[in-house]
Formats: sequence, C-alpha cells, structure tokens
Amino acid sequence: MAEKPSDEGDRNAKPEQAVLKTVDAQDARNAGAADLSLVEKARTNTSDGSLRKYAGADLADQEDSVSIDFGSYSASRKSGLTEKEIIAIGSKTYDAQAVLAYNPEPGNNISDATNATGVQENQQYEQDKSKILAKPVEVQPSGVQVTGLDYNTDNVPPSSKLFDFAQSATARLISEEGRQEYFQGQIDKVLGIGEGLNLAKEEVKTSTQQAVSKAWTALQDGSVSSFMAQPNAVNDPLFRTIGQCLDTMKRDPNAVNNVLAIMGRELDEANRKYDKLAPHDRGVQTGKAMFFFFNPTGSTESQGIRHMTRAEAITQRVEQQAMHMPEVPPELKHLELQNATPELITGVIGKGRRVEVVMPGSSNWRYLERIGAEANAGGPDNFHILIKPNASKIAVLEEFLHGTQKKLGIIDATGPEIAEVRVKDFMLRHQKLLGLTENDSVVLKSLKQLELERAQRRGFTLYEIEEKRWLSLPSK
Amino acid sequence: MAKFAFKVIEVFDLNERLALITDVLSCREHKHGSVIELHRPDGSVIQTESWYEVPVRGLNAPSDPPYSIGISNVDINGARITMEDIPIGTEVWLPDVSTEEINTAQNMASTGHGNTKSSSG
Repeated sequence: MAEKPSDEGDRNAKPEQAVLKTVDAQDARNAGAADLSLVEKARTNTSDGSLRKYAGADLADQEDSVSIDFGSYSASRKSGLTEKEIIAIGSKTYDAQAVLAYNPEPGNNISDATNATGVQENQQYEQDKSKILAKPVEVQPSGVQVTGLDYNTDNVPPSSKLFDFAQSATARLISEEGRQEYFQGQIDKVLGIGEGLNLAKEEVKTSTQQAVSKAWTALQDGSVSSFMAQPNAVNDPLFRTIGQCLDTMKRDPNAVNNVLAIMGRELDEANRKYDKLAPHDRGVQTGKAMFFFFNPTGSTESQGIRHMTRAEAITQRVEQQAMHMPEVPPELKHLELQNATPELITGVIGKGRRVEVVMPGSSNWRYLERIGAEANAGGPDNFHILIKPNASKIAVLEEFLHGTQKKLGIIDATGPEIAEVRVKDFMLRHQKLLGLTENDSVVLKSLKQLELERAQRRGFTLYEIEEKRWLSLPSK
Repeated sequence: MAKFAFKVIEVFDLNERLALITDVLSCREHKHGSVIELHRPDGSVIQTESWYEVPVRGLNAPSDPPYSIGISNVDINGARITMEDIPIGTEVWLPDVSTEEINTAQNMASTGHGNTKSSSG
C-alpha cells in the first residue's frame, strides 16, 4: 500500500539523499558524452592521458635545493653552470709556467688523489701499497714521550710500535697478578652495574660471579676472537672506547701509570651507553674486549696463533681490524682518474684560491707526505691549496670546495673530519655537474667511506656526520 | 683561561703559515680561527691564530694520520714566528671551550644568526 510521505518523513530524510535530489546533481548524473566533452575542453590542465611527463617531477623540485654560491655566481642544476663555465668565469689565460711554477719536464712522479695510476716516487713508496709506508723524518721528536703509538717518527711500522707500546705499558704497570686482579674487579663492577640495578645485594654477587665466569669462558673458547673478528667490531662503541684509552695514554706519559683507573672509568662510561643491549650482554661484551686486550693469559688457540706473544696478537688484531678496515678493493687502486687540467687549475685560481704545486724535497711536499695527503687546503680561508704534480681532478675540486665550505660556515660548524665526508658526498651528488667520470665517482665513493669510518674512529657519530646536516650552521 | 690540548711533534714551514703535527688524532675542542697558546719547554708562551688544515687523502693513505693544524707565522703582537720558535714537545693550549661557546652564542644572538639550511655540502 502506497503511503503518502508525511512531514515527519521529510524531516528525517538523510542529507545525501537531499543533495542528490538537487538540480545540479541530477544534471551531473544524467550528463551525456557531449556534456563531458564540453567540460574537458574548459579545463586549463587538460591531461593527455600519459603520466610520463611527471616522471621527473621530484627531481625538478630539487633543482634549486642545492647550489654552490660563489658570491657573484651560483652553480646549480638549474643554472646549468658547468666546469667549463666555472673556468671561463676566471677570465684568465693559462700560463703553465706561471701557474704550475715547477719544471715542466715530465717527471717520474705520478700522483693523484688515490695514487691509482701507480707510483714510483723517489723510492718513497714501496711496491706493496697496502702497507702503511715508512716516510723520511724531518724532525726527530726526541723530547716526546714515546709509547710506540707516535706516527711516522721513525721507520718502525705500526705493528712494531704497538708491540713496543704493549711492552712499555706492561712493564710500567703493576704486577701481572695485580693487574689481573684489578681487571677482575673491574669486570665485577661493570657487570654488577649492568645486572644489579634492580637486584638485591646478594643476588648481584651471585649473578656477577656467573657473568665473570662466562666472560672467562668466552675468552678461552675463542668467542673473544670471534667478537673482534666481526665486520663491524671496529665500529663498536666499546672498541672506540678502548682506542680512546690508548690515545689518552699516548698523550700523557703519566697516564700510563693510571691506565687502570682510566680504563675502568671509560668502561663504565661505555657501559652506560650500551642501551641497545641487555645489561648482562653489555657486561659480557665489555669483559670480552677488555680481556682480549689485556688478559695476560688470553687464549688465542682457536685462532691458530698460539705461538704468538700476547702483544703480537694484539698487534695483529688491531692492524687487521682497525688500521685496514675496510679493505680497499685492489681494483680501485688501478683505476685511471682524470688529471686536473691546467684550465681547471686556472679556473680555481680565478676563484681566489692560491694554488701551489709542490715538488719533492720541498717543505710543503714533506708536509703532505707526513699527513698522508695528496693535496691540502689551509690558511684562514682555506684558500691556500697545495697539490702534487699531476694531481687528480677530484683532488683539486675537493680542495676548491673546502674553500667554499669555509665561506658557507660549514667547516667552522662541523670541523675538518665531517667536512671531508660531506664534500665528497656533495661531489657525488653533483658528479655530472662537476664532469666526473665513472672511475672518479667509484674512487670518490670509496674515499668517502674511508673518511666516514675515520671520523667514526675519532668519536663522531653517524648522526653528527650524516644526519645533522642542516643544524648548527650559521645563516649566510 | 686556556687548557692543555696536545703536544707538537713536528713543524713545517708552508711559506704562508706554519703547520704543526700533533700527537693526537683529532681534537674537537680546537676551532678554526681560535687564538691558541704555544707553551714552549722553556716556559715562555706564544699566542697566535690557528686554523684547520683540510687535506685530501687517497686510498693508500694511512688510516689514522695525526691531527694537524695551521698557525699564523706572526704572533698576536705581530712578531714573526719561525719553526725554530716551536721546539718539539711544545704544548698547545686552547681557549676554554665554555668561554668560547658563550662568546659564540652571544655573537650569534647579536648578529641574528641561527640554525638554518645551507646550500652546499
């Protein structure tokens, strides 16, 4: 039976139903092809039905996001300023004699940012370039405390220095039994902190003893060696902590006498930072690493190096794990890099830099050798650039960009360690703009990784190096 | 008020300035442009400006080279500094960080500098 809608019924109608009854809604619902065509023609953003043109939309948005500010010029993706144009801006005619200021006769020295093309440099390099090379000493640091960790002060390789250091430290410490007892106490303390926060006094004693027992077992069954052999062991905060201890000892001769106290303090500090590990695990890791370095009777049998002395074992581990990690792929060392062209050097000079090509035997050359560098940027504005003959393009560009970093306040804000990483990152992101070859980029990537790990070994965190990119920088 | 930071183990004359090789790997307290004190073994002190040295190292470089700084070859009074003026073992004392930070913060506040995004690096 049909029922006449009442007033009550109309008042209860749902809003969307009311809307659909409007004239506009009815028109829209009943629109034909001709109506749709009219509407489509009226659009200002008519689609051609393809999304292809939007594929690069994100990149386009970034065109203005990164640029190099030269003051009166700005180089960015959008401006399209190329290396050639940067050089042209210098507006100077290249004069090899004036710019390079050295004998233009082709020398025996082949040098670039990586020594990648092979080197024969007045016997200063050995054939096996995987080693840290002994270098001539300019000034003998006779008045300096020698713990075996000084750098390049003689022709003794780092392994021997560490060996000497270990012997020196051992000799100056308390008796072997006393040292072992002290460390035992430190382990008790560290593990006690980790495990005992919420436990009663008696429970702490019990669990600590168990944990210490586990640490000893870990040492004897080879777990310690396994721990240190982990790929990222050198990045472990504990490893760095121990490195800091050694560094502290190196700096202050008297610190050797206090090494045990320092060790304990550093371990406590490190332990507090192990928030990602369970307290018990933190203690075990601490104990393992500590015993690895200092336990007089540390078992290394499982690694097949029983015949080695303790110091030699330490040396081997430190060299393998810290000094040479990561292993640079051998093939990278033979990649041919672009040399810096005279035009590029002229262009850099045109930007206010003072470029000096240093020659073997000069004080500047010895300085670069001493700090293991292919080039250097220094002075108040980091505009004084030292390069070796036949320097690579990436070396010259990097030193040029360090000056730019200084102008922008980046170096002041971050320090040289982080600036080294970021400039390489910048160059990789702008490799096309800078005209880098594939080889240049591959080597640059590896160099960036080396700098990253170097900075981490100096106590900088990944957050500081990579993520705190935009913080703490002064405005232009 | 300065405090001890590290010792000098080698000195190089780079013509425009002097470069010091230190007995540490890194020093966060050292700031570019800071006036440092060189405490010589004979007890005398030289004050001069110091800067970062920013090298490019290759794949074959030592993993942990020493920290190096550049210093002006004239002291704050304008007197010439030579390599011979800085014997091995000379101690480098840095300005007190807390004082420096306070000054920096005050400068930044007075100039309106703040955290902002930069365009490079």
